[in-house]
Parts: sequence; structure tokens; C-alpha cells
Amino acid sequence: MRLITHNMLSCNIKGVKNGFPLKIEAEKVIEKEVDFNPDFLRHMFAKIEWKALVEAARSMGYAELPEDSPDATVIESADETFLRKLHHALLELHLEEGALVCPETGRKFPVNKGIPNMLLHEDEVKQTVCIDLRKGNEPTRIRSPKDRVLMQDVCIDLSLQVP
Amino acid sequence: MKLKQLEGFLGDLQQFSNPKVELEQYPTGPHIASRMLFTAENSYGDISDKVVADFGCGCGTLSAAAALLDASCVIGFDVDPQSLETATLNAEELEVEIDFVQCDVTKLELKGQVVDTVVMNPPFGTRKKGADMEFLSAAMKVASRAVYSLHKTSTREHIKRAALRDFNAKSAEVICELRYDLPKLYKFHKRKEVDIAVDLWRFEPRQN
Repeated sequence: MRLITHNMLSCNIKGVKNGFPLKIEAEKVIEKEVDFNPDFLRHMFAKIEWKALVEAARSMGYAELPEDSPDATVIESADETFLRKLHHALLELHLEEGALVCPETGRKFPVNKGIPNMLLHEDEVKQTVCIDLRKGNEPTRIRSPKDRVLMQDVCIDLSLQVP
Repeated sequence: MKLKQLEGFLGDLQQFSNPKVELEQYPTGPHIASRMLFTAENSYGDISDKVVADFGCGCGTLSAAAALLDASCVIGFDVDPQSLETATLNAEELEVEIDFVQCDVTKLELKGQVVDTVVMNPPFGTRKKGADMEFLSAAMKVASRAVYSLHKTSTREHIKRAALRDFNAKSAEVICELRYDLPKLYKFHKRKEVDIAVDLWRFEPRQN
């Protein structure tokens, strides 16, 4: 798993308010070179969560990224020093063995052979409910997008998530 | 890369050794997979230099196609560890970089706007009712450019309505109709082979 992927993963256990970013426990990290694409990196820079990336890279043993996200002039400039560092951190570091840890609950998602297992246990999955006006404001579980559509005329607030 | 070349590479990939019927594991044939991704790239520019996610990647056929068409980053998501192992081997064989994540995409909430394009051959909902819609809903939340998906032609009106009304789609177009040839994979399959009419869809999410 590379850090570009890590930058989009968060803990989805029900009740967790802030499951991002996942902390990295690195047991085995490998480096694989890939082609440098500065245009892609410039485009990506605007979309990634910078602090999460810096912290994650550090956990993987790479501390070259600046703490503060650089401003536009550095990104646009012809000097590719910064972009090369971004390239290395985002695309060339692979977490092969270790774990991703939820910052709120401490729950560990194991990483084996480069693949993180983000499957939740039955009791960790969020239930979406709505308040069914026909049933005297009783919460009714929404099981599927189809349910959601069927319920939209008789329920208020279709977005309640219960712990 | 030419279409025939791409189709050739995809035809060499390993597929499910022990397909699980409850997950609707059917390989995406090289004919469909190559045409799907080739169109996404050549007609819409949605693959090369983009971040591509493959939902329900199985053995990674669509992921491999995206990588071969120069996506800058490909990530495959699937619930089944055995398929992901096969997918990893396939990526190694082709010498392409693909990240794989084991998870239930319908329960996953990906942060941010990193993913440009989602490609998928989702379950049709024959085992778990509504699975096709759940996959589509999840994909539309994640993609910033486009979602490419296969759905049974018989569900065409239903899909279009749901995408535009409930899943935040700016547009929902059937790019073409394909015949999905399903070989006799499971014990309950009576015929040697069956052809299902499927639509290749392109959905564009509304920008937030």
C-alpha cells in the first residue's frame, strides 16, 4: 500500500467522529521506483491532506517532506526538488507489513503483503435510520438505497446514524 | 497501446480459482474489459494520468487495464482475500503497480477528492438484492470525474432514474450495449454458456 492510498482511508467504525488519518505501524517497508510525472504531482498536491502525508511518510522512515505545506510558487516553479520528494513519498514507499490504527479507537487494521484489511466486524458497522412519521417517530433502519427512496416521503431526516 | 494488444494482455490474467457464488464472482472477460477501458480513455480521457479506483476488483482485470492505459495510480477494492491474492499476482505478472485494499466498498467512506475515475463490474444483485445500486451509490460518492459501470440492460430505466435523482449524477449515459458471456461457473448453472445483455454506463457526478 502506498501513501497515496493511505491518504484516502479512514476508520468507518460507527460512532467514530474522527477516524482520519490512520496512524501507521510499519513493520516492513519497501521502495519501488516509478516514473516521475511532475504534472500529475502538481495536480495531486492540491487534493491531498498534507499533514497526514508528512506524518505517514515519517512513520515509514521518510522525513524529507516539509512540515508545512509549501505555497503555490514552490509547486509551479521549474525547480523539481520538492516535487521529487513528493513523488517519492506518495508513490514509491510501500507498506508491506504492519497496521493502520484508528486515531480515535485504537482499532488496528492489519496490513499483510501490502494489502490493508479494512473489513469491519458486524458490531462496528453504522446503521442508518430515519424517523418514520407513520410509526410515531420510531427510528426505522434503512438497509439499502432502495429503502431510502421508499422512505423519503414518510420520514424526517434520512441521515441519522446511530451508534 | 492498441485495443487488440490490451485485450491480449488481459486474456492472460489468472481468474477466480474458487469463485464464491454469494459474492457473484464472475470474471470480467478481456473482450468487455478492454473495450470498457479503451473507450473511457480514448473517448473521454478518464484513465491516463488519473487516479483510478476499481470497486469490487476481483482478480483485478479492470485495474490491470487501467494500469496498462497509463493511469498514474490504480487502487483495487474487494472484500475477498483470495481474489486479492490473485489480483496481486496478476499485477506482478504485468509489472504494473496497483494498490489493493480489502474492504466492503459499500461501507467505506473515502476521504477527499483524490479519486478521479471509478471503474467497476459490480454484482448485479442476483444474490444480495440491491447490491448493484449500493455499489453505484458508493462509486458516485468517491469519483470526481466519472464512473464506468456494467449493469443488466433490463435495469436500464431504473438505474438512470436512481443515478440522476438519488446518487448525485449530472449525467447518466449508456455508452454501449454488450453481451456478457457467462461460462458455466457454478453447479446451479444449467446451460453450458449464457449471454446476458449488459449496458456499459458512464456517470458524471455533480461537482460539490
